[in-house]
Amino acid sequence: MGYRQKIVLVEPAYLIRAGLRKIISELPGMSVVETFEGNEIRLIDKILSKTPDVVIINPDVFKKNELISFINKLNNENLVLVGLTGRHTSFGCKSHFRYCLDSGESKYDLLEVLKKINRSLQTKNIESENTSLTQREKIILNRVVRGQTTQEIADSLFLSVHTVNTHRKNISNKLGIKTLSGLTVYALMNKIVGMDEVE
Amino acid sequence: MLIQKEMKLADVIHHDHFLIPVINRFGIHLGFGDKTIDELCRENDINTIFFLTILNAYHDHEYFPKKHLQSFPASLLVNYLLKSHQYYLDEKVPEIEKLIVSLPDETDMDNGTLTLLENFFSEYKQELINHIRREEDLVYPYIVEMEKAVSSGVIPDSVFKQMADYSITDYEAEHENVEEKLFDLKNIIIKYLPETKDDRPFFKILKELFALENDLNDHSRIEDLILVPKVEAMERKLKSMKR
Repeated sequence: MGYRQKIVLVEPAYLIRAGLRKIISELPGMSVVETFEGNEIRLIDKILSKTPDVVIINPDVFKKNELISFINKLNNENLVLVGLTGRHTSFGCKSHFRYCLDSGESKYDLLEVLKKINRSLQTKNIESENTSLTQREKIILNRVVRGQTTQEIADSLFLSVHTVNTHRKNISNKLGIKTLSGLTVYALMNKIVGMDEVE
Repeated sequence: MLIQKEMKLADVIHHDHFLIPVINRFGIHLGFGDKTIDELCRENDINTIFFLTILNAYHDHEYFPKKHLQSFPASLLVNYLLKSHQYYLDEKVPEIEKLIVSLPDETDMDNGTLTLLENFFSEYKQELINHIRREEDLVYPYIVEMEKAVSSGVIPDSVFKQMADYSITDYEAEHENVEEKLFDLKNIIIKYLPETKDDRPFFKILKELFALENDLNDHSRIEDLILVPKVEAMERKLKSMKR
């Protein structure tokens, strides 16, 4: 089985959380990695720490201005926001979301929406499926584990800091290794850097 | 399954054997026959509601004991968390360390790679120890002192100073760094281990790493779900008392 899209669910009612979890579990390509009730402190940070592909939220957990700032913050992170809506949800509120799951719909209509989300994300994942590092990324990894800062790397390779950061992010995503010591072990094992170059 | 005090503990353990280390931390030893949870708690002088809360929180990740939070003191929870720290540092981590240190005798992999893994694990271990020390030296005593202040109504200045310096809300974020390292270690072994004739020793290590990760996740879920809300409530109460 390939990559499973990670879903975070924000909904105060347990019954609805459990129901949605059950439906999502029928789709092999997606899984709910965390659920929140909506009143947690620093909710956004907690959501983002799960690195979700999809966030399903019940807009009722927020006041109107809160909702908009919440949506804006999450939209910046390049993930799919789905509204968990009902009969009483206003049209204006629904328009904030690319997709809506309506609590009044039948199981198969809900599954159709979920499948649509799943398909739209698959193309994105095929691109990032390629996990071998490019030559440029290897050069940057070499410098990172030798202890150079992003600024130093940018200066010496005539790149912008932003570009170096993008490379670093891609390297971590491709390898599935986040910490500097983890990257160092990888680079040493794959002879991207020599034992005498680090420390 | 919701675990209740009328249930026989033996049945509960048959249903979910991952609870064994938990009952162990409460001082309940094997061989408890057909006794119910309630009976065992009374015999061992354990707060039944607290015991049930912890069992249920480990057993069911959706369990959230809002109503019971106020029925036991935070100091009980702190004691329990201290015991599980001891379990990680005195049992789990040394077990894994032993497996990693004995790798040179068990595989044909070159020593350079093995040293890298060994160093990486000892770095992780140090970080885990630092994190645990910080909790035990700073966070837990603060909680115990705060609870005393709430119940006695006498609030020492030190508690207020600490409340200003360090709120419990900051504390949740600290867990993550330690978790990331453990994840990286697993991923390096799963995805990037150089070829070897016999990778069984690495299976064993992986299995232990997954078990440790699982246990640590449960531990921090208990902290996030039970300890943090309790302390936040006390912080609010103390702030209102000051006014």
